[in-house]
Order: sequence, then structure tokens, then C-alpha cells
Amino acid sequence: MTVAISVTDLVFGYQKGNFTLSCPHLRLEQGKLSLITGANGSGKTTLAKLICGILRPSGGSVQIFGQATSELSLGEIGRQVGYLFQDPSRQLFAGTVWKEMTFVDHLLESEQGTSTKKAQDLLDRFGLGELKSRSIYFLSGGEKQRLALCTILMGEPRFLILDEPTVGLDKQNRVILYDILDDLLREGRGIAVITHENELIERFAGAPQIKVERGQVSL
Amino acid sequence: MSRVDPRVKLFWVMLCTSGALIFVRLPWMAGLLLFCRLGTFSFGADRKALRGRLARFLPLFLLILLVHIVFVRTGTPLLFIRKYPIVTFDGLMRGATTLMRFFIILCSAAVMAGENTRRVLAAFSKMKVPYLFSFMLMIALRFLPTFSTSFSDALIALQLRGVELKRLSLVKKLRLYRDLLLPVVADAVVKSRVLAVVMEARGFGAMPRRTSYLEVRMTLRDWVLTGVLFVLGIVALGGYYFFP
Amino acid sequence: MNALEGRQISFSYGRGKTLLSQVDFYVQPGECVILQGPSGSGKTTLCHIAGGIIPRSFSGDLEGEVLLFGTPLHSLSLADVVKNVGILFQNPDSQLFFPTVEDELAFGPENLCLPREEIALRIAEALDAVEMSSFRLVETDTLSHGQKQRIALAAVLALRPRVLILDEAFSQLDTASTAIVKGVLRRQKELGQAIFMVENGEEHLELAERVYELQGGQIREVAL
Repeated sequence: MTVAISVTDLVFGYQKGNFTLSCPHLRLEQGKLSLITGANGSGKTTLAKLICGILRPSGGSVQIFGQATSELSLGEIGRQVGYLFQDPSRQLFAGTVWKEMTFVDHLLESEQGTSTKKAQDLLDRFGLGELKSRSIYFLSGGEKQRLALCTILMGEPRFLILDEPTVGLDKQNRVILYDILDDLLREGRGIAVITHENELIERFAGAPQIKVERGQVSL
Repeated sequence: MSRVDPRVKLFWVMLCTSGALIFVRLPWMAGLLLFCRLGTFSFGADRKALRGRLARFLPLFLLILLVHIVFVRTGTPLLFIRKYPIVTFDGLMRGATTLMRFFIILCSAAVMAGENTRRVLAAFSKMKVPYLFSFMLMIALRFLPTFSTSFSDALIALQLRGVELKRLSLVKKLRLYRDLLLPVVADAVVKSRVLAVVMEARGFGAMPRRTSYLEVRMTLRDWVLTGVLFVLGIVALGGYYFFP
Repeated sequence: MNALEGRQISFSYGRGKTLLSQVDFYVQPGECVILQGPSGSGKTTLCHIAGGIIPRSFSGDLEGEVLLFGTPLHSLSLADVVKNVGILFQNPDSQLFFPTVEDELAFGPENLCLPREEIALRIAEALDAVEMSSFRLVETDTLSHGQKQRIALAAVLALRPRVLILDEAFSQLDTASTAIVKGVLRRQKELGQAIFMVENGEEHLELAERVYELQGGQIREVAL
């Protein structure tokens, strides 16, 4: 078994308010799906943001694939761990579906031969192949989420963290999402899903559950 | 004291800010600063937000101080480098006064930020401010933070896609900011249209007036406080002009 | 008399293709009517027309008319429309804009210039209906998605509308909240209120007296 994420003696407090998160010990395995559950406002998203380096801990450490996040830049973390926001429109900004997929390449003016194919393949695989020239403002919630996932997968992260991915999705889109998760697992990726919805928890009933309650993380 | 009527706080903010704009002499400004700090302590300001804002404006503050020191050439020279006066008394004084001015404005804004939005709306409505105006203000204040969050979220998402912001050239960085600004603004426009529809569907704007479920009442203490503030304001203004 | 009725409604957004053509529908008091149709068929647009949002807030080429208890919608003031028609939208986050639950519920009645005592009564009544009485002073930010949607519904109920329009209001709800909202709708029907809702799921058909299907701009009534 490979450990993807390991957290030791993590402590974090927001500047505003008196909320603190503490996580003495946490291991997330590569190639498996783990559930991070708990009520709204319990600190699930905070934990995820700490793992991705969006927030920096006030004490303790987070390691991804053996490297401490404190020594990595956000860009370096992103190449290992992908993070899907609860509201995926927050991570889309390029105008059209295709521009979104190639945004980073354009920005860095890198070679586009291989990545164009990769972008096309990903869109096809997630059922967005026909929507290449569609404006991101005219995508449905489910389509936005799948596009955000595609942009994340462009960087080929080995591990994915999904923040409340079922919120705002109707039944049909939820089923599509579950199939995508199965698919990503078959590819050998590790996944952590943050959720407070029973349907998803029941769907992945065998998965290890990490509970977050009032800022306390426990297995 | 935090339950002082929002109108009294508004009056106090008005006094502080107009003082900050009128006064140019250091001792008066220092006095006002003291008066203002007293207010932020007793009215219950949003201190954490204030501290954050001060930290963010610190470089700007230092720059202002520096500009004054360098460009104000009158007054007794205080510091020389090879006979050339670097710091003059006037420059230092003016710099310090300007700093205090900004500080006072930030502090008084923090007092209003610490107040409950609904109480302020209710107070406005009692003051016969048209509700369209006060709601516009409230919505603007609520939207501004989301504006900056969505910008920083976009930046974070982009970095997590593997872009090293620090390694981008200045030209590319500027181009990136320009590219990100447009969708952020577009997003805000879409959100505000949705909000308008939702508010209207619940009757906003249906009548020339609206009632307020939340009531704010001026207590005797509030009236006394207003009186004291009023007298203080007159005395300070008179004092400032008649005893230079 | 029909509570809500659409007569020969045609609509297009500017120079685009016609989205709705000669659509007729009606909802009687105490009746729940479900509108189904594939995405992009104009269900939301029809909701907006039925609730007066089109042409009030969004423009387009609209023909035909909507009658509210026999009176053309366009001849009524906003106040009269709002007193009679409540609309619940899909996304609760965009429907809540005040710090606390109480503020949120007071907003509508305040707009109608109701006296304080009446507003207090309506807040209590609406919160009770969605089984969230203990949440009165809670900050809306801390609520779950389903709870937020129930508060959005309560905010509409506080206006005591005689016609309720729901635009895919169920689609994002968890099981517990769905059951509660369904209960609210049943009680509303018993009170004689008319309900017009867009919802594709089979599981909601139990609420309905009649079902319409919208496809290719045409509407037709389908058997239950």
C-alpha cells in the first residue's frame, strides 16, 4: 500500500472567528476512495484546503507522496493533487470549453501538439466533446463540474480531492459522477471525497470514512 | 456599549471623518485619533478585520510617510547627509498627520463594519433614507468581498493546475490578471441579475415604502450621547479655527 | 375559475429561434400541476412567464397572456402579483441574501409594508411549515443545502401566495428535505393553493393532479 497523503499533528485556526481544526493523525491511501464526512461548517473543506496547500497549517505537517507541503509551491502540489471546488465555476474562467482546457498551455506558450490530443480525449471521455466551443456560462452545473475535472486531469495529478461534488447535481448527473469516480479509481488514482450526503456515502459503503466534527478529525 | 443605536455611531463616524479631513495640524489630529480609538473600543468595532486591513495598507502607509518626508522641504532640517537635509520637521509632521488621517478613517469604518447590517438598514429607514439607496449600499458591501474571493480563487485554481505564478514574467502576469478580471466581472454581473430577479419576486420595490421588522429605538442614553458628541464637535471646530 | 392560466403563449429570446409556440396551460386552486420536458425545452422560461419575471425583469418577444384568477398578469401591480404568486428557484444560495434566517423571512412581508406584529406571525408560521422553527436566529451561511432551500421556501410562504411556482426546486435536495418540502406542498394543496412545478423525476408525480410535457416549443397534457 502506498500512502498518498499523510497528516501529522495538524493544527489550524482562522484569523477571523474562533474556529480551530485539529487532526492528530491521518493517512489516505493511493488507489482508493476515502470519504471525508461531517456536518456543514465542521471543517471538512478547511482540511482539504490544508492538504492542497491553499491554507497553510499553524502547526504540524502535511505530506503528499512523502514530501512536506511546506516545502512545495502550489504549482508543485497541483501536479500531484487535484482539487475540485464545491462550486466548480470558481475554477473556470477562460470563456469557452476549449479555451479553458488549453488555458495553461497558452499562458506558458508551451508545445501544444500532445496536450491538444490529451484535451480532446479528456473532453470525449467526459461527454463534453461536442461542447468545445460552448461558452462556460451556458454549461449546466454537471457539465461545469466535469469540465473542471477535465482541466484538473490535464495536469495528471495522482490524487484527487472533491469537495461536496454531489451538491447542486440532479439525480442523472449524480449517477454520471459516480461512474466517473469508479473510472478514475480503475486508473489507479487516489480519491478523497468530501460529503455530507447519505446517497454518496451509501454508494461507496466500503470506503474508509474520516469524520470531521467541530474541527476534530477522527477515523 | 455595543448596542448603541446605529444612528449615533453614524454621527460619530461623520464627526471623526470630517475632523480627519479638516484638521491639518498635528496636535489636533492626534487628539482626534485618541477620540476615535476611544470610540472603536467602546462601540465594538470589528477588530480582526481592522487589524487585517491595517496590515494590508501598511506598505502604502509607509510610502505616504516617505513621500512626505522626501518632498516637503520646509521647516527645520532634522537629519543631514553631508550637509544636505534629508528629513525636515515639517515633512515629518505632515507625514504623521496624513498617516493618522488614514488611520482614523479606517477605524471609523471598522465600527460600521462591526454593526449588524439589518440594524443599519433599519436605522437608515428611520432617518427617511430611501430604501432603494440603503439596499444598494448593503448589496454593494456584501458583493465586494465575493469579488475579491472569486479573483483569488481563480488564481489558486490556476496555480493548482501547475502554473508557477512566481516564475511568470511581468508581462505574462499582467496579461493573466487581465484575462481573469473579465470572467470575474461577468460572474458578478450574472449574480447581480439573478439577485435582482429573486428580490423582485419577493416584492422588493413593489411599494414606495417598506416596513422594518427589526426596530431600532433611540434610548435616553443614545440621545445624551448624541448631544455630547454634537457639543464636542462644535467646540472642536470652534477651537480649531479660533485658537490656531 | 383557474388560479393560473396561460393563453396562446409564444416566446423567443430576441432574434433566436422560437422557444415556446402557442402554449396553453392552466392550474386550478388546490391542484398541483407538473411540467416535464428535456433540458433546454423552455420549462424555466415558461415558469418565468407564468410568474411575471418575463417581461418584468427579462426581455424577449412575448405573445399571448397569463391570467391570475382571471385578471391579466400585465395589468396587475408588482405588489398584487407578489401577494398572489410565490416562486421558488433551483439554487438556494442565490435566493438567500441576509445574514440570518429571521432577516430573510422578514424581507418579503416588509416589502409589502405589513405591520410588525403581522410579520412576526408570518415568520413563525412559515418556519413551522418547513419544520425549522428552532433555526430562527441562525446564520444562513451555516445551514446545509437542503436546509437553505427550506428557508427559501419559507421566505416565499411568508408572503402567503395563492399560487406557488417551483422551478426544479427539488433537484438539489437530499431525501430528508425532499420529504419535508413534499409535506409542505400537500398542505398547501389542502388549503386550496395552486401549485405549478417543473420537475422531471418520476418520484414527484405522486404530488400531481395533472402533468404537462413541453417539447419542441409545444405543450401537451400527458396521462398520469
